[in-house]
Amino acid sequence: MIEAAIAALATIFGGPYLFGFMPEALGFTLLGALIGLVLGAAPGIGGVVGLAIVLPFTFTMDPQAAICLAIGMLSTNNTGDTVPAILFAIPGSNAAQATILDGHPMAKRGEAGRALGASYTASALGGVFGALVLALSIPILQPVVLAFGSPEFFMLAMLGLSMLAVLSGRRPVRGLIVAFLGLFIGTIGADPQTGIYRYAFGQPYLFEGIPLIPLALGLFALPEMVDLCIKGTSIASIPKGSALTGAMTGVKDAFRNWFLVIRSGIIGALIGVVPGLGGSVVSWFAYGHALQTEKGARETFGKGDVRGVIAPESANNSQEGGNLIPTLAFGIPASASMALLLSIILVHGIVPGPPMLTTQLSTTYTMIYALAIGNVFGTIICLMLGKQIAKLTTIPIRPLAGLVIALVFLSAMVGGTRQFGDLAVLVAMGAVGWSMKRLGWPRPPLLLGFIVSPLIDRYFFISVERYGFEWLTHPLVLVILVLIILTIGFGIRGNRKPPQSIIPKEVVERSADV
Amino acid sequence: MSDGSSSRIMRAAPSWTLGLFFLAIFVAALVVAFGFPQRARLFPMFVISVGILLVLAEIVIAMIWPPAADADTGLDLKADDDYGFAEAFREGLPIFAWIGGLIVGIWLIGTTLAVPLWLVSYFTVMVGGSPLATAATVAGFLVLTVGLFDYLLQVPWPGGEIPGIHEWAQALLQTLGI
Repeated sequence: MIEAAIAALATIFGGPYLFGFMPEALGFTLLGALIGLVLGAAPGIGGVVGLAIVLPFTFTMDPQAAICLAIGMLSTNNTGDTVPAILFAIPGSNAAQATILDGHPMAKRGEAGRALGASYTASALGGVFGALVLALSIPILQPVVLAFGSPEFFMLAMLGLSMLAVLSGRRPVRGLIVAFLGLFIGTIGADPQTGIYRYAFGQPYLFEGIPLIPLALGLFALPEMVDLCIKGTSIASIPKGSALTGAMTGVKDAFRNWFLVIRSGIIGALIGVVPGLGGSVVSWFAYGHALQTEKGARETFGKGDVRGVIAPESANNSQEGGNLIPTLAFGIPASASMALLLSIILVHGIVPGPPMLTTQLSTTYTMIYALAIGNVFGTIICLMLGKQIAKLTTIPIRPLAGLVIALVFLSAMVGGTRQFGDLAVLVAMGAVGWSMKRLGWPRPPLLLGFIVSPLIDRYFFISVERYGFEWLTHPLVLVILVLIILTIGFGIRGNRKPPQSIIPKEVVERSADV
Repeated sequence: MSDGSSSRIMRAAPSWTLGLFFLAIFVAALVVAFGFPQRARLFPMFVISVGILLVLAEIVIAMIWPPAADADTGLDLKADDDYGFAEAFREGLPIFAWIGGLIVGIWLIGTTLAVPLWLVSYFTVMVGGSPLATAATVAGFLVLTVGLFDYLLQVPWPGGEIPGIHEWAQALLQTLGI
């Protein structure tokens, strides 16, 4: 094992040189990290589209270089997507949804630099931690993942939904209603089990179901742009200049909350192991965990608490390490981007499975190093450019809103099906989202319900078909059931407590001055 | 009905409005689901039934414990102005109209033509920008979108309902060398 780790180090730092000045594998890792940052920041594009774009170019490359390029891209995608999430409340990808809740209020308060600094640092620490977890857990996790069947996966997804009660403030029932609405919207289209078209009403657009990107952009981005236009100022309602500082404060915040970073990193890496749960579920899990465990979080989360940025950002980067475990060890891609990575690996004649832990172990370690290096490099780049990025929040909103709205329309089509129906979904969900925001209904549960709907549908169907209702007595199912009950119970109990602000006095005073 | 209970119901009304909207969706979906084969309706029926029960529970809860004026959206983003729903809707009408204009424009004349035209109109009317600044912004946006989406991602934008206009726009872009 040590020989393999050293051999991988030699591959990264001692291989053939790229353009004569940098080892090829290292160079392609950094190039991938840079591409991942840019594509991650463009809403609706993200890691899957990015990998799809570079896929044909990797076929003629050296296997190690191709893998390093792909891993580099994956490592920073969840770092780049933070920029539109914090500045404009537009999730660059699913994984950035939870970051909006506290990151965007911070930007509005003039702390965009601090939020971005904290997010980049937490992302890097989480990503490195995920790589570490991947390195340590491969021999341990194999029997655990194999012990999970459909009933256990179903219950795990339900556990994710139970977090919604916690995420819905003093109206947990509203959170659950909206989550079930999301589950229902997720059933539109062809039933994956029977092939029957459900709620398609003969419309070809609906045969494949409602696409996620137009729905997410409509739910969050359009309402935010409308409200900013109603308010009529810049995103940060503070004098120019003050939003541009604070990145180092954010970095310190991340290190000050090191235990939260580690806990969220563990959550990300472990949930990342479960195929199909994806970045958004990981982020919400980490966010919910921080909410339940951090002191005073119930009063400050959702209003611009930096810990609400740190937890999901650490988790969604560390999940890439977790995602790699089933992809490499079992050949089961844990996400769409991992499926594309798998195709790159297979094209180069590397077969995933037990060989990745034995004969191909050095390749696995090369991936681990590339993951860690890409994360650190991405963070350094972001911190260097953070001041320029944060300047966007001080631009008057009206011209910016015009550009963002046009970009949102185009992104909805790029991330959707490239049909007019995408725009109909975007605007319809925009209207629903804006009404929900104004009338006090939480929107995140709708999105999470929608995302996990196909997964829950499939596991529910298989569980009932295979076991009848006997699966409810499986030991692991019972353990997760207890966790669900505890989550909802603690959530409701915690939400009844009277609010007591722990926002630092100076922040409150500054907010009041604006 | 006493004044107290009357005002309580009035305060709960916004919750009712959206709750009733969701209830209507669930009920309609339930009716449709009865037309599906048994195996295909298993999951939708489960989801919809629970959804209906939850909405009914929420309406009862909203009647008994009406939400405060600054209704708690949990951990969602909150509107940071003091407008009520109707007032915010009135204030937002211009931007709603612009968004509506963009979608109607794309529907009629296609994306390639509608988006730049919309941007020119928006920057001239809504922002009051100078012709030079407007032209530079729109040109920059076009380079980004056409370059990124059209050339790199090869995204076929949907054409408009007016026949021939999308093809005309594509030909114009080619003539201009974009």
